Amino acid sequence: MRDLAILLAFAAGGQWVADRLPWSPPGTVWGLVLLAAALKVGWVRMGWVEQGAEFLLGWLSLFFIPLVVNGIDVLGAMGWRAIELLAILAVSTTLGLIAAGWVAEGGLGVSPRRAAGEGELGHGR
Amino acid sequence: MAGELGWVALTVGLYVLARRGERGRLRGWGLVATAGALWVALRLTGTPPVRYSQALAPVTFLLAPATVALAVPLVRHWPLLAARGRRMVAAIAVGGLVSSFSAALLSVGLGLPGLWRTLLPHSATTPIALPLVAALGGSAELGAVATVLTGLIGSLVGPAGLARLGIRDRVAQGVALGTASSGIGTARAWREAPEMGAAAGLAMALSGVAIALLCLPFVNGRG
Repeated sequence: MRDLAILLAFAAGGQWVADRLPWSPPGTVWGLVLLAAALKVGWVRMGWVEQGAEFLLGWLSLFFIPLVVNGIDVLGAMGWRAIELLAILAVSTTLGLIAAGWVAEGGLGVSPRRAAGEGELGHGR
Repeated sequence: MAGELGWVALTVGLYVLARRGERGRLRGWGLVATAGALWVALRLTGTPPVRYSQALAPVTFLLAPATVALAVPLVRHWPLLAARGRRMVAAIAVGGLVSSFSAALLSVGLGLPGLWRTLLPHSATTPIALPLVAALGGSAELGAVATVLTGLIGSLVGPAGLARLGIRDRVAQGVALGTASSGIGTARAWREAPEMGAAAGLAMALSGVAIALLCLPFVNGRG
């Protein structure tokens, strides 16, 4: 419960920041940044939040289900236009994935510096 | 049929079952399968989707602390991510640019000229994308659906699809998923590996800001 209370407090704090800026990333992004900063400087200990964080992140997809159900419902009502929308999104999202992944792997030759041996497939989980 | 708690129980139960069935080529399909089954259940029982959304409000509410929780893997894997900082920033900018403008160009190319206003920010996380859609003069309802579908498409292509395309590094896969398919892509990345989830969470946050900056020049061109 302590873990969830801390995460909720940072979510609320992030929303407080977002509400006071004329144009701002969402409150949850501010909450993420604030908690990361608090963990880095030691104001919040990793042990206070890690179990709750891992539980929530393990079920992250579940929290999107109502949004996906609504999306399917709207698509179902769109008829032929749904196919066009899906086609555009499938192509553009796949292109975005490839472009971001390719550059992140060093495709543009940006900054080859990396932690040797880390982050490769095959480390298992 | 079921009351509000019944819908919550059915949603959680179906999702747990779907996750157990996610093996091999079905990996990543649990979310779509659960949502599809629930949509059929809503139709069969004549339950309006808005009532279902209201019943599931306590579940959706947990998205906020879960997003904040991404700070934990972010801090844990910070040395790995910081070592690739320049590359990550470049990847997020390029990925956001390609995803946004390819959707807009395809809309115009397919003879749907007004749709670009809705699709330009489709890769951004929903709380960033929806105000942008409104500012661009697009459809809020379609914009919400587009961001969800974008997340689903990215999560279904997933790390396996990226690996087939030659992108095998876990951090690079996480950056790709977070940049191009925001929250749902990040959820998929987290299930694969913590460092992939950390990279995706950071990419999701930064790409939202990058896409907002990309959209700003078009905000006044609504005429």
